[in-house]
Amino acid sequence: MSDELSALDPSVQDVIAEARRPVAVDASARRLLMEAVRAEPRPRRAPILAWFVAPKRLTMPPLATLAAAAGLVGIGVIAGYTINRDGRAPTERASRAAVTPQLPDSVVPRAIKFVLIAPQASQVALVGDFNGWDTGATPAERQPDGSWATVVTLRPGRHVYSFVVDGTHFIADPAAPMAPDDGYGQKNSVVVVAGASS
Amino acid sequence: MSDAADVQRVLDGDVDAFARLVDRYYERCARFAVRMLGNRDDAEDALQATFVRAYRSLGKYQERDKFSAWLYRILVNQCRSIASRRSQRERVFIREEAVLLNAPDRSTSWTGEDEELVQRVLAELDPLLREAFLLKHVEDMSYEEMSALTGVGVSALKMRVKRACDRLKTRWEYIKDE
Amino acid sequence: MKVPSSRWSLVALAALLVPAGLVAQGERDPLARLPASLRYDVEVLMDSARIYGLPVLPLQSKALEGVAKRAPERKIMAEVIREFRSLRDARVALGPSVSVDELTAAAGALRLGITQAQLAQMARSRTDKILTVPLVVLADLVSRGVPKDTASSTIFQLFQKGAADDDFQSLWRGVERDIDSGTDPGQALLNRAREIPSRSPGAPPASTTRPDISETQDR
Repeated sequence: MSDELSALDPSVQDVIAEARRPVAVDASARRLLMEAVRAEPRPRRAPILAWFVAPKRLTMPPLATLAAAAGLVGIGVIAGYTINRDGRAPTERASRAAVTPQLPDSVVPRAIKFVLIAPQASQVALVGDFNGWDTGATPAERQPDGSWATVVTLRPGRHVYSFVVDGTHFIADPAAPMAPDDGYGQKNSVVVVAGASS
Repeated sequence: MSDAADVQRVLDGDVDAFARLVDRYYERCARFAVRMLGNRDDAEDALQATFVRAYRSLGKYQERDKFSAWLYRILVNQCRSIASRRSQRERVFIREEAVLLNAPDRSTSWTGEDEELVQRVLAELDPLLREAFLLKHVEDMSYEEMSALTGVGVSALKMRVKRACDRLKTRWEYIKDE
Repeated sequence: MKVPSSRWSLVALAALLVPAGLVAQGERDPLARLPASLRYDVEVLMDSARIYGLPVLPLQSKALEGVAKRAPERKIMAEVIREFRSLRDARVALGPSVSVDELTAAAGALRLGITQAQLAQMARSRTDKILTVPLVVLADLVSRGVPKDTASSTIFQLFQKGAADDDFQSLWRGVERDIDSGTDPGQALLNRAREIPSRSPGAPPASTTRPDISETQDR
């Protein structure tokens, strides 16, 4: 046991040491407990037969089910799937996709081209909620006319984004609707990608 | 006096033998219940329910089981039961959210005493992670014992303990720096 | 391991239904980019959001945006909290049966000073149309200087009269052009709004999902 313990991070060892300290117990709580016990009928030995019965497995509904019982929404629900009551693999919701491999039109991702005119820049990238604002994830390519372009596949819906010039300058897309103030002193743009094809 | 012998005495009619069992286990169980539930009132409810239930079903205790394991199975279940009955507003995440939303300056209300900090950091764990962590590192159970007690597989339990340790490490370091 | 083909298509479906547009990247643990203490606090708010039935990814995204823009930790936390509150208030205004996009667009509008009452009014008057594009245009107009109440009432009236996403897009383009050439923003909106034909309620709206505000213009 002590080998295992020393293999743990020192912070965790600290927590364990503290957690192992005894807690103060209320003397009256103990007394009340024994009074309750004495008020109980005497326990009897179980009949011999019971000794051959396997001990009952104590099961507990997973927290997700409890949460559902408490009237909450959103726990364990992933788009189109719900987690089984016993926490096993997601079950499939009956959908057209189960019959044909086609996806409903409204979720087909679309290729969207983003263009920034910045002939003086040495590098331009696209950042937004679709790439976790990762400045290295979606570089744009310089075009012959001095503009920078990149094509990104986006699911239909609303996306917030910005261009990053030379790694540090955040520039909103002048040709797109403005997003509300980002709170960080920069401006963002919004794109709404269309759903149905026609 | 071994546990099994005391159990036999109770079944033969000697209630005081049960008092001895309680003496032997109450503080340990109290420690688990307090660490698990985060407050003394709930812990006392859990302890009461645990020992009364243990008394009632003493006839079903089989000598080949370790008495402590048998008792802890009841205790763990009682703690889970009480935790689930607590109203949603008391869930630690809602409490945390209230703290975050109302005190952006983070004026700490912690006195800095370690026990309080440990209690806080434990309370921040998901209950299943906390339970596994306590059983392993505070109650010194083996994974096999924990598995028999909770009905969960050993590797799942190991995973829970590991995740608990990872979270605790992060939170403990952060809290200690404040 | 043999997997029936229908199950493969469902796997593909699941992959493409990954929430909130995380299609373009394959980062396994984006929150790893956050400092540990900030990560924990953001996760707490995300858990709360999940419990309330609010979308969680906008919160994560807000935090990551702050990291990209090198904002101090306290600022990032403040912005994530603001986003949480805006989403919550938007949900209160719009009700439970709105899409994530409508919710985030509405949250944006709220942050610009559009009131919950104004949002609720729009939500009440919608039948089978979605609010995303009108709300995006509304936010843009206010950001460009159109007075909030003018913008809100104009957009609302157009919406009520059956304006489609197409209409809102051309409205936006026209107003933008006018503002750039010097017209007062509020006036520009009122002028252009008159150009939008009223479509009688009950008549099928012209292509509610056609417009692509992604098309960039050469400048």
